[in-house]
Amino acid sequence: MSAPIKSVLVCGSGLAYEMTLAALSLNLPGDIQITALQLGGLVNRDSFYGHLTAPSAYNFFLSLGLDEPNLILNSQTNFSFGTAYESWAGHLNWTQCFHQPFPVWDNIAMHQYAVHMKAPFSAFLINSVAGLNGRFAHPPHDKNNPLSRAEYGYVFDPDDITALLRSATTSARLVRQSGVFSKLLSKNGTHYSLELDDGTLIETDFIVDCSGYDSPLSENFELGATRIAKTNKEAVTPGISLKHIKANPMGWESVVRLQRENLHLSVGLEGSISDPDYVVGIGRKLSPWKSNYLALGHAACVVEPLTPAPMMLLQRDIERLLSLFPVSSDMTVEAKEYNRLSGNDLEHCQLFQRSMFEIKNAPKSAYWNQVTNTPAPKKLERKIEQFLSRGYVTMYDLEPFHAEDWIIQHFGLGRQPERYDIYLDQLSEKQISQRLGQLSANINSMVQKMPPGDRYVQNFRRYLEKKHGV
Amino acid sequence: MKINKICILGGGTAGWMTAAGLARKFENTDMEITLVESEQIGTVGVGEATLPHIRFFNNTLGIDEAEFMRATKATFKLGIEFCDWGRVGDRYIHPFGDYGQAINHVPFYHYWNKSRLYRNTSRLDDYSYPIIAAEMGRFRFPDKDHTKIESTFGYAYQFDSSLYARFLRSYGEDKGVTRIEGKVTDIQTDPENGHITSLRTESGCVINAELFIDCSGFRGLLIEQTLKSGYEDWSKWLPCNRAIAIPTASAGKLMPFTRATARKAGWQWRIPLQHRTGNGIVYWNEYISDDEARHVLTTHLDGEPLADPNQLYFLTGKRNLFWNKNVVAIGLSAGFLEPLESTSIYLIQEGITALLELFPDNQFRASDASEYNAKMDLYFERVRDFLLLHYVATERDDSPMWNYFRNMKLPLSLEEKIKAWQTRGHIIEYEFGAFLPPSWVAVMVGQRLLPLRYDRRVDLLSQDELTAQLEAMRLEVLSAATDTTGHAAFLQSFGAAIPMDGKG
Repeated sequence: MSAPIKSVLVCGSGLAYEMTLAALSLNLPGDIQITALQLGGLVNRDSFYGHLTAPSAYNFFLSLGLDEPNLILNSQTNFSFGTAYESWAGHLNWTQCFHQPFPVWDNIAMHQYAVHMKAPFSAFLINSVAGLNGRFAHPPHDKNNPLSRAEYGYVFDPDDITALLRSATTSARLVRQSGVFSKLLSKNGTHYSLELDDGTLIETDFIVDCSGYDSPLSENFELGATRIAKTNKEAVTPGISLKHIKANPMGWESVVRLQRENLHLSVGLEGSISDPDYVVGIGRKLSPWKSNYLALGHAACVVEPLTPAPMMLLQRDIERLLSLFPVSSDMTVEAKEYNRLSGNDLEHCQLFQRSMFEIKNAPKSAYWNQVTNTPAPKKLERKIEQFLSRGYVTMYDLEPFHAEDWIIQHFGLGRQPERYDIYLDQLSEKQISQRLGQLSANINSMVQKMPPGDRYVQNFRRYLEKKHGV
Repeated sequence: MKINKICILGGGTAGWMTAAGLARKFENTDMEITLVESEQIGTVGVGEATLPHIRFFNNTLGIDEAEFMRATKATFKLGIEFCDWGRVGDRYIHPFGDYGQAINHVPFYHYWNKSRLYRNTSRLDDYSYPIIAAEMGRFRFPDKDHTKIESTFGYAYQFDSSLYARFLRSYGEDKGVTRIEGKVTDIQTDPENGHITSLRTESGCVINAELFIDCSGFRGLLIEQTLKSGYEDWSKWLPCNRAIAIPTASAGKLMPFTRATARKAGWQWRIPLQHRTGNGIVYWNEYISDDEARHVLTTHLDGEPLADPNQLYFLTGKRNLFWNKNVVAIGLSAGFLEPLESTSIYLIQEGITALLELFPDNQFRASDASEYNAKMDLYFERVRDFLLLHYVATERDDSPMWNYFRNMKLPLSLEEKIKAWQTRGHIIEYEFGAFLPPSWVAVMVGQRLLPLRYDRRVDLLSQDELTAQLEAMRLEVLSAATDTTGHAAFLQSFGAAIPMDGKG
């Protein structure tokens, strides 16, 4: 007989742990007891979530009880229009900005105009232009304003957000305790409970493991390559409103500008960085949900934070947990559906990241060789083939990255479609050129009016302080 | 090199929709579009009821809605009423819209599902504006204010498909489509690459083209008879293989919905138009003879027959290759799925949209065809699963056909969907396909496939709060529907082709 779920145990530490606790506390009914077990002895690898969220984080943070004013006032979180890649593969520079659907003129997508004119696509993306000029402003609702098509994410320090969530998640029914994990006990191989090293047995209906990549609770991590990483902070640099990533022969480095300091992350092959903070394996659990055990965050999968993919996956896994929170001790259906969706998301994020390495004239560096030592997946080949053939964007169901993300990436990586949309032949070269020229002029004019990102966030903060009486 | 000549073979709904779509796209170019059709052959008229997607197609063509309604004698459609599917005596409406409005970002039906398990006996339908408006025979356009319950729906049309084809013929010819009357007697192919190069009609007219669109119906004159593209037979899942259609005089109030009534060896449709009612029966000849089917159909008509019954034969399935060499099959030549959910015209529309997106040049690259075929495969499969759900979500065991479905091994995709729903009211959703989660909910709830448990997020509302919010929603829907204009009166004011007096 399957019994109702009365308790859930969340164990681990760090960002995924606090996010999961906040989400469960705010979305589960009061009769489900939530126990938070902070595990000691875990390595903090939260910088591998990549310091950048997708735009959807606005609503996600809201669902965790963190609205934007709270984030800006009580953490170093800042706004970001996306990621600027520098010297990617040694010769490519582009801005992977967050963008709403592109304009459609005469029933023809804007990017096809750029294909036809062989024009640099980034000139038609307002947040790319603004970001490279260090400008930022909130996108307005007025659809006639070119900035209305921009979207933004957040750059953040994971320790900062962890602390903020911890102080905000104060539900009376949330029991916090700490301990050191000893072993997972199984009843008939189908139901797990947990024992601490002092002999305490914690019995629960459902375990959510947020203890990271080398989770002591579970093995079965399908490993790919290994990376080392190191973070450091430095005095803030004015005029950055993008995350910057620069490739090097052994890996890459990123920097984000928070409100009061810059946050650097270096990632590379083993031996490429002196005194690294940690070693981490790129990989995944094939079935993160098994019986009454769910691995979440880095305990389920580790993706190199070259894009916002790690945060997207964490966010979507938590949202998925809420919508599939088990309704009885028989979790077969929930586990199957969760594992299917989670696997699809991971696969689609991996396609997006792997696509960044499918380049002509790629460097022969050790890092590049390691990433590309297996052939590109068929699903990615189909995407690239279609784009190169005619600028067509093949999409699969419910991909985390949108069609706009793919188009920006394809152009950024120098993929020039062989054919353009034939319906453009109904327009003259002058008409096509004027359309793009007008858009570019509107963007440049708007960007000139936008304030530098650092000044904008300072003023926004002052406004919030005044409004909230801080 | 660009393609300059397109030939469409077949002038039914699929042929003229394709011609109109292409003519609109190429209206200021030197593209030559020729449509060949024969009045000797006639057309099937794949369906008179549509899905809301049709509005997007018409809008893209720049068609004036009132003019279209008059020309095709169309009525508005808020959904499909299904009778006798879960059990004999049951009825429900699959609405083109949602149930209630989400609470705390959780879809409304989850709240109803919990209340049902706590003995709330109200129908889920009571919380759906399009259903209550449809049951009352009311209609209005959706409100643009998304906070209002009157915004929570879409609508489609019920029209005379032969009039729609005629309307689009006029549209296409105005935009330069050349129509050639004649029966095709000879098809020439290029011996080197197997591409079709020309068609010859009985009168000796030769039509050369670079791209051919096969809208020749079931026989697939180009895609199958010439190019042997193959057909995937889905009759093990959807075994009904015959239909009989008959128009009758209008009777009773003009309702804004199509009706599909389950019978012992198939199902019967009723589609109210402005000037008449379309009727028909779809059946499996294994369990009922043609004469018996005709008898079942005619004894359940509610109006005077206006013509002799028209017999149709089909095999459910889809073409292995929708696009093969320089031929693209659209309409019945591409595949056939019974019109239980009005998907025939929708599938034509998806075929046209995909063709326009992937329109080839004269190199006919394999990548264009493979992308097209992959897209269409997906659309057909997803419609198939949804149709099959109607047959398997049932308690009926009163005939060999229903017993066949009770013992059927389902496609895995459908089996998992049903299990997730029954376990906890979870819908396994997809992004690309005709039917969104509310459609799946409608059929499963309407046919007594009910979840054993509910989503725990709804427990954030207390039982009293839940009861109050449900009642408030029910009253809001009822009030909004009561304030909505009658369907016939709305049609009259919008510009009906004939007087709507006496139609309610």
